[in-house]
This record gives sequence, structure tokens and C-alpha cells, in this order.
Amino acid sequence: MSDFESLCLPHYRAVKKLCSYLLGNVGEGEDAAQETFAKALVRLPDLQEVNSVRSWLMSIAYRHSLDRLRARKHRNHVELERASSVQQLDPPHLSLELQEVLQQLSSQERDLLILKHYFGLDYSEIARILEIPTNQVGMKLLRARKAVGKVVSKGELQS
Amino acid sequence: MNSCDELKVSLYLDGELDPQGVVEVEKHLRQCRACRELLSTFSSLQEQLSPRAPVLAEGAPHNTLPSALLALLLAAATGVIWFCYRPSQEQMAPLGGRPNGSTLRQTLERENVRYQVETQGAQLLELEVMDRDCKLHLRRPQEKI
Repeated sequence: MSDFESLCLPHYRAVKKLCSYLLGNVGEGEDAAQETFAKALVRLPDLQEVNSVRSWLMSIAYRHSLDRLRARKHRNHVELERASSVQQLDPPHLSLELQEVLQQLSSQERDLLILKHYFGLDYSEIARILEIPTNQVGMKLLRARKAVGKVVSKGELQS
Repeated sequence: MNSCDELKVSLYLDGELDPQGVVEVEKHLRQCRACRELLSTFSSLQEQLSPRAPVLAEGAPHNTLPSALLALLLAAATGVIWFCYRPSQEQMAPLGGRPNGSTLRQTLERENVRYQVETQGAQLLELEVMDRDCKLHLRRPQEKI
């Protein structure tokens, strides 16, 4: 196995999950994941400046998936709708009510919650992927949690 | 932390506080029911969004690499001696391993170097790297039927 593969293969599942979530379907997510790894191979010299292979790959996957969404918008002449679908992630305790509430959040708020709770990334990794300052991640996460938490705390969600 | 601070409670849940901050929040939580309920609400959300199994690879390295040139050579060569030829010649060399899933072939350019890459999932099947002085072609061997 090449060194590129030994570095990147452990993260393939996470990259594929992220792309599927952002693009709203598994098939397109798999295509985007493969394209991500091809781009990563070409950008390998950049990795010297990054201390996390995982967040580096997921950053490429995130931007590439959004590029595909923009291309889809251009082809279909419709307003860009973030197709991000929490259903593609298949967390076992996710209720329909929570799914609906998550879809009402802004794209960034939803992505923050998913990157933190589903993917388990830390603030610096989230900041790199979303291209926002690290010191803003905490406050933005708090706002997203409070927006969803109103529904959770009223007991309207059932696990 | 004497008064309620929702941000600190949120940071505490995420493990983003320094040790002194953790001590302060935990002391406050023992005394403040409202903040305990807030933490419980955030924790419930975390549980509902958690995956069936860990998505991120256990123990996957946060790697730094050696020099950029060495990294690219290692990625392409895989234990095979790197040969540089004039564009009129090419060298086929095995990469080893087993392909699975659908394949994707792309041509990418970066800094006047052209890459033709064929991948299957995260596995590299074929790589062609060309600049004006050198051409390298590596291909994973086909499986025997």
C-alpha cells in the first residue's frame, strides 16, 4: 500500500459520509469522495503545512461538495438549496422532529452540529473545514444548540 | 464562574476548556440547576446526533510529512524506484494491492505539472505524472481471472 493510501484510507469512510450528507445522496457522495482523494493526491505537497490529515481531507471534501452543489444549481437554473441531509448519516436516535428542526437551521449551523456531534471533530478542525476563525466556533455552536434545544427541552423529541 | 455562562457550559461539554475552566464550571454546576438542565439538553442533542459506530478512524494519525517532494515521490513510487524519462519513453511499474468499487479517472493540473489519476475509492490504480522533462506512469497490476 502506498504511503498516500496508508495516510488517507483510514479517513475514507468519514469523507464519504460528509460528502453524502452535503450532497443529499449516497451515490453522488461516493463520486465526490473519490474526486476528493484524487484532488488530495495532487495537493499532497500542501500537507506539509497541515498537522491533521483528517481535517485536511475533510476540508477538501467540504469545498468540493459545495462546488458540485453550485454546478448542480447552474445546470438546473434553480436557487441553490443546500441538499444536506441528516438522513444520509443515519444516526440511530434521530427523530423526525429533530430532523425537521435541523433542516430549519442555517446551513452553517447545521454543519457545525454535524461536524461536532456526528463526526466528533474539535474546534480547530471544524474551523479549518468551515473556513471560520476558531474563536467563533464555540459561540456559533452555542447558538445552534439553543435553536435546537428549545425543541429538545420541551420534551417534543422522542428517542 | 459565579454567574451563569451558557458559552462556558457549551465549551465544557465539548472539552474545549482549560483545566481551571473545567474546575470552575463543575463547581458552578453543583450549585446551579438551570445550568445543569442546559448541559443535559445539550448532551441529549449530542446523543441524538451521534453515529451508530465511530465514523472517524480510531488512532488515525494527525500526520506531518517529510519534505513535500519526498511525500510526492513516496505516494507515487510505493517502494518502486522512481524513474524519470524523456516524454518519448514510459515506464510501467506495479503498485500492488486489490481494487474494489467503481473507478474514477481524472486529469488534473497543478503548477505546470499534469496528473492523470485513476482511483477506486481511496485506492490509487493508476498515476501518470508529466512535466516538460519527465514522465512517470504507474499502474496497479490487473487481477488474474
